[in-house]
This record gives sequence, C-alpha cells and structure tokens, in this order.
Amino acid sequence: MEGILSGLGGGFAAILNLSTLYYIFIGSLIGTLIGVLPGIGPLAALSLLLPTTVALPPVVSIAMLSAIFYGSMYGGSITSILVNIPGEAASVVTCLDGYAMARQGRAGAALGMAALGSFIAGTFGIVILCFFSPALSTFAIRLGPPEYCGLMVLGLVCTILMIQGSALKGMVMIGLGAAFATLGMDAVTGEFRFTFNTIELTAGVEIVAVVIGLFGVAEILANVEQSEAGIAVKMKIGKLWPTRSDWKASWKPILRGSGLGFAVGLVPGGGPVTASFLSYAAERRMADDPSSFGKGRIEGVAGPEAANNAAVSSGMIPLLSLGIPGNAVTALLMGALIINGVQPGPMLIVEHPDIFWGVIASLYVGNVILLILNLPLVGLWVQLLRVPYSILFPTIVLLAMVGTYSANRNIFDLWVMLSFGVLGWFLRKFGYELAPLVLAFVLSPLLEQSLRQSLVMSPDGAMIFLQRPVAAGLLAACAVILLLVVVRRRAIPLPGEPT
Amino acid sequence: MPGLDVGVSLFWVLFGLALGQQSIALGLGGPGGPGSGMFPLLAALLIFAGGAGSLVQSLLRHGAPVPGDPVEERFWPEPRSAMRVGLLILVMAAMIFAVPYLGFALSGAIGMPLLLRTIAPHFSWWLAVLVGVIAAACVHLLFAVLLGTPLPRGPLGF
Repeated sequence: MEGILSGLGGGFAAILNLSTLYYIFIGSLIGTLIGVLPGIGPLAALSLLLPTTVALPPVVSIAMLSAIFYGSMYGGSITSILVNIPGEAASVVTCLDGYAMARQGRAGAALGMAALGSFIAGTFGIVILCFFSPALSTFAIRLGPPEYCGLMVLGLVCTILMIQGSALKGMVMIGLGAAFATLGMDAVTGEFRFTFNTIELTAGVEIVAVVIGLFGVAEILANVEQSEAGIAVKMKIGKLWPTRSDWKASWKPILRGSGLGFAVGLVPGGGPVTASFLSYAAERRMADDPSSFGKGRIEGVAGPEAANNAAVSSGMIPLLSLGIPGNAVTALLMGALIINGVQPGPMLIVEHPDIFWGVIASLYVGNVILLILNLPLVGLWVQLLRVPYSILFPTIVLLAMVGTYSANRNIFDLWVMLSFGVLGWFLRKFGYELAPLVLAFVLSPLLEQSLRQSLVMSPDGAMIFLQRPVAAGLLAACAVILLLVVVRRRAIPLPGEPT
Repeated sequence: MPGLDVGVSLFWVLFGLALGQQSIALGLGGPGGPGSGMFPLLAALLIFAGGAGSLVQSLLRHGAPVPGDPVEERFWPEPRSAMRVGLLILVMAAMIFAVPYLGFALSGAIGMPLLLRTIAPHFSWWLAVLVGVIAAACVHLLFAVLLGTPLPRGPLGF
C-alpha cells in the first residue's frame, strides 16, 4: 500500500508540470473533438496523432494519447444524445435512450449523466488499476518465454471471440498481421524475409504507416463513398446537472457499469464497445420494465457510458503489467512506448517507475480535465458538428501524409500508408475487422521471440508448452475459447436448417 | 456481394499456400533452433485455414450471407462512389510522388483543392484553392515550425 502511494506520488510529481498538463489538455480536447465528429473513430485519431508524440518524452506521449482515447469516449456521447449519430462505436447504445431523452427535452440531463457517469467509472477504474497493475507485474516477472508465448496466443485467441463478424475472417486477419510483421530482416538469423530484393523493405514496415493507413486513410475512403450529408442539431440542451431522481435511478447502473466495464476491459480482445453493449443488456434485463428501455431511461445512458470508460482504464492493465495489448487502441499505445524506446511489461514498473506511475497519474488528471471540458463546453462541441466533412477529410489526408513521413522521414512509408489504406478499405467491405490485424502485427515480433526462446530452451521441442503448468493452462484456455467460438457459430443455422 | 466474398476467400487460400511455400523455402529450423521460415509458416497456416473455412462456409450457404457477418450488400453504395474513391487514391498517389520534388507544403497546396473538389464538387475552384492553401499552411506550421520536423522542401524553399 505504501509503495503504491509513494509510486503514485512520484507519478503525480512527474506529470504535474505545465508542459505535461498542456499536452494532456490538448489530448483531451482533440479526443473530445474526434468523439463529437462522427466518421473519425478514436483509432483513426490516435494513429494520425501518433507521429506528433514521437518527439515527446514517453510519459507525456502516452498521457496525451490516453487523453485522446478517453476524450473520444466522452465526446462520442454528445452526438449520440443530440443527433442520434454515435461519434464512435462505444456510444452506439447511448443513442437508444440518450436521443429519446433529448426528444423529451431532457438532453441536458442525459449529457450531464453521461459525463458524470464516465468520470465516476473512469476514476473507479484508475483506482483499481493502481492496486491491480503492480501486483500483476510482480507475478509476471516470474514468467518465462513459454508462459509469455501462451499469454500472447491467449490475447490473439480472445480477439477472435470478441470480434463482431466472422471468426474465420478474424483468423485470416491475425495471420495477415503476423505475416506483415515478418517482413524485413530476421533479427535472429539475419536473413531477409519477403523483401523482394528491395532495400526499402529490409527494415520491415513501420507501425505508424500501417495504422495510419488502416484506420486513417481507410476511414476516409469509406466516408467519401457516400455523398456529404449535413447534420442538423435541433435539440435544446437544458439543465446539465441531473436531478435527485436522475441520480437515484443512475447510481446503481453506474456502479454496475463500472464493475462490468472494468472486467471486460481486462480480457484481451475486450474493450469499450463490448463493455457498453453488455452494460446496456444487463440494465435492461434487471429493470422492472424492460420494455421502457429505448424510450428515454436514464439508466440506459448512465450504465453503458460508465462501462466504456471503466474498460478504457482496465485495458491499460495488461499493457502496463504484461506488455500485452488487449485491443487495437492499447496496441497503438504500446507502439508509442516502443517508438520512445520503452518496452512495456512486468519490468516497466522496476526499470521505469516514473513512466509507469506517470501514465496512471495522467489518467486521473485527464479524467478531471475531461469533466471540466465536457459539461461547460457542450455548446461549443455541438457547433463543431457543423464543420463540413468536405473540408475535414482533405485536411486529414494531408495530416496523415505529413504524420507518416515525420515518424521515420521516409517517403516509402507514404506508399506503405496508401497501400494499407486501400487494403483496409477493401477488407472492411467484406466484413474483415482490422483490429486483429493490428494486434497481431504489434504482438508478433514478441510472440516469435518467445516462441523461439521456448523452443531453444526445451530439449523436448514444443512439449515445453505442456510441461510448464502456467503455459499449459493458458493454452488450455485458448482451446476452450476456440471451442466457445465454434459453439457460438454453430448456433447460427444454415439455410433450410431448423432454427 | 456473395460472389466477390467467395473470390476473396479463395484469394486467402492461394495466398496462404504461396506464403507457406515461401516460408518453407526460408528454412524451418535445424539443430541451432527454429529457422526464419517457422513463424511465417504459422501465419500462412492461419491465413490458409481461415480462408478455406470461409470458402467452405460460403459454398455451404450457396453464396447466402452468413448471419452476423457484416459484408456490405453492394461494393459501391452510390453510382459516383467509384469515381470519388478512385480520384482520392489517384490524387494521394500523385501527392506522394510529388513530395520529393515539390516539398510537403507545395504538394499539399496543389493537392488539397483537388481533394476538396473530388469530395465536394459543389465547392468553387476559388474556395477550394483558398481552403487548400490555408490547410496546407496550417499543417506545415504544426509539423515544420512548431514540432520542428524536417520536411522535404520544394523549389520555393518550404
């Protein structure tokens, strides 16, 4: 307990300076803006802004990127409630009751409860993160390459369970991400893999170019397919502070959402989107009158909004403690740390306690800044919905190009970015989710290293994974999850089969 | 797009086979430990298995979409979608090609109005040029001036 408090104190000391606070503020501002504007998801925003953080110290870089992620979660609820268009995927369920409340003239209460619920859940998540993460790191230090290998495989398998579409397509995406990660020189043997005799590919493909292409460029290509449509904000916002009866109805859903969101965020492959959907389903099931959900129940806003913010906090635990990103966003944060020369994992708390605790402290500060930004400035955010997309998208294209170039100062990266943009846009059309590809791309170098180390240290080859209890347990968990995926898919009947 | 979806699945099967064959050629390992081709082979197996599974699933359903699989109904949602996407890719490629010769600021200032007109043809050329120049100047200021990133310069010195 004492160690945690002193570590956290050190973390606050590291970030409570004007420069870091400025970047957290900018991150919160950009994140909220991204969340408010439908069409640009948090992943696109994070990938576009990743290069701008390269020159910053690691703590500041992660603090800013985390603030963008948090901000987009907060901001996403604004458009969901006011115009029935989710700013990002985790706010989809907020539309159901949030927009209904707005139509009843209670937009202010919905917006206020969304912001306050998010703040409470975010803070809850960070407090648990403080205690849970160091304990997990202490445990993880004892793990060897086979256990790490098992953990990473589990992370990838969980992604298949969590994706919305076809598990088989998820499998293809994981394979493709792993294949892209092997491009370039093999660090162990020095052999060149799939470089097609080009000098540019000898160092592989840059993560910045890959993610900006897959999430930034692909998003724009998908958006320009449709004719531009204006967004009309007609709702009156009214009083933002929820009434006593709103609080009475919401405090339990907020607590439940916080707990559920935290648990879902911990699971590799889980994240804010799954958390918000599960919370909505849970609230509806527990309600005295489930049929009233979708017609303006404040519980339908409070629970999911709390759940998605708690999931953001708990998603940091596998990243900081094990060095394993649970979803595409934390994979990007991991990429940012690696670009800054910091390897996340159990040794992070030992080797870089300032970074470990600084990141946690920055989450606290970011949450407070977001609450201040969200409630009083809601009118300003609404005005931003009127920025025409025809101006926004070309600017993002230019930003993507300059951002990609500035990460490595290599023109070839721009071609990589464009190629991955076209690939991502094409894959999305056929229901291929891109998150497993990015996750596999980030995890594969570590997975390959652990796999090789495990096989080298084992006299019995691959049997080492069954001889070590933790590794065997993790692989057994993978098998159970794959079985679950098969059972879940078999529940969907073929044409002509009885339902 | 069930036909195209089957085609994409078939592509993964063939891609997985080709990648697997290339991985074996790299070497799977020996007494010194695993070789360079072992991990790519595992990736190839995943791609092959996923593609083959999707292909079989599509064939079993006689091309009918799998419930819950978010495949878009039509490749192009609107008649002009293909032109907009094609032009956007073309302008971006031209901008990337021009960057080493014209620099980012000038390529952006020329490319942005073209992108604007591609996305929103109702914009007048004058407005497109104005917005393009302002946006290119803002991005240049952010990266080259504020963040100090050394960006390629053009004949005008920026």
